[in-house]
Amino acid sequence: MSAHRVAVSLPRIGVTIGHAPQKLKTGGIEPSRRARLEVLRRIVTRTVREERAELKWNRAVEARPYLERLIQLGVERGPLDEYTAEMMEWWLPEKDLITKMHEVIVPRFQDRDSPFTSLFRLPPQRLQQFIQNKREVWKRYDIGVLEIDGNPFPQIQADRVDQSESILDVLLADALRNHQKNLQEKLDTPKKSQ
Amino acid sequence: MNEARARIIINLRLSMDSLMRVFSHRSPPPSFGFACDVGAHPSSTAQNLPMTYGSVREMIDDFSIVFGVPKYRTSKPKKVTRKFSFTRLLQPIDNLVTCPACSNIHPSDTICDACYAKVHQLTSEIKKKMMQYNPYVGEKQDKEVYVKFRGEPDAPAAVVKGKRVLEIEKERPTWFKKLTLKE
Repeated sequence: MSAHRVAVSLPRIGVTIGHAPQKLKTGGIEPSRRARLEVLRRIVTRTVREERAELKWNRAVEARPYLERLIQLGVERGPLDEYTAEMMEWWLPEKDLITKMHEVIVPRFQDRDSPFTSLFRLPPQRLQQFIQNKREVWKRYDIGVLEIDGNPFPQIQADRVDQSESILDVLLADALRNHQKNLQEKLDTPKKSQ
Repeated sequence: MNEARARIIINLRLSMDSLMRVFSHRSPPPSFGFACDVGAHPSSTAQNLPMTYGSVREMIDDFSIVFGVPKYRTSKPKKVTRKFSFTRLLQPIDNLVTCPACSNIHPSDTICDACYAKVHQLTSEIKKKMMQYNPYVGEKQDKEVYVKFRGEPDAPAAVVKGKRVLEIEKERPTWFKKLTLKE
C-alpha cells in the first residue's frame, strides 16, 4: 500500500516537525539515513515500553512526530489495517509491545485528538561521556523528557493551583475593586465648572 | 615581476663589476658566468631601465612579500591561556526564573530540575515495578497500570477494573494525586 495514499487520509499530527538536520549517530552503524532510522526506532520502542523516557533534547524533538504518527495509525485505522500492522511491526520490534500498543495505549486516545505525547525540557546537565584510561570526559547535554499522555507516573508539571483564595489575591482584588469604584464615582459626579 | 627581476640582475652586475676590479688577474667563476649570460639577454632593454630604485615606494613594493608573516612564535601557554580564558568559560545567563513551588532557579525555557528530581525518583520506582514481567513465558504489558501505595485502602473496583495493580512499599507523597473516577 502506498504510504502517501495512507497519509492523505489521516489528520495532521499536532506536534512540531523539526526541519533542521539532526546528527543521529549510533555506535556500530555508519552514519546514514538507515542509522538515523535505527536511532529513531530505538527511541520509539523505548518510549512505548516505558511510557516516559529521558533523552537528548534534539533526539526527543526528532522522534516525537514518529511516535505521534504511530499512535495515530492505531487510533484512526485500527489493528487490522495492513499498513498499520506493517508500521507497528517495523517500529516496535518486540511483539509484546505491539500488544501493549493496541490494548493499552491506543484505547486511551480513542476519543482524543493529537497530540498524544508531551515533551519537557530540563536544564542542561553535565554528564560523564566516557572514561579513557585514567581520564574522565564530561560533557553538557540538553535533556528532554518524552512521555505518552495518560501514563501512571506522577505528573511532571503540576496543575495550576487555584490561588483565588489566598490572602494576597483577596487583598489585591479588593484594592482593584475599590479603585474602580472611586473612578466610577468621579465619573458620575457632575463637574462644577459646567 | 620581470621588471623587478631585471633590476635585481642589474644590481648583481654592478656588484660583480666591483668584485672583478679587485680580482682582475683571474677570470670570473662559472656561476658568475651564468649570471653574465642571463644578464646579457636583456642587454638592449637594460640600457633603457634605471640603474637603481627610483623611489621608496618601488623598494617597498619589492619587499612587500615579506610583510604577511608573523614576527614572533606564539608559545603553547599563551595559546592555552587565550583558549580557556574566563571570557570564554564564564558567560552570564540572563533568562533565569524562580520556580513558584520550590524557589529553585532555572532557565525560563526549561522546567524546574529540583521539582523534577522527586518525580524522577518515584517514576523510577514505578518503572521497576512495571518492568517486572517475563515476556519469555507469555507475560505481556496488556493492561493499564494502577499504582497502590502502602497504607492505602483498596481502591473501589470501578477504578481498578481490569487494571494491573502495582504495590509500592512506601507512603503516597502528598504531591501525587490519587486516581479517581472523574479522570
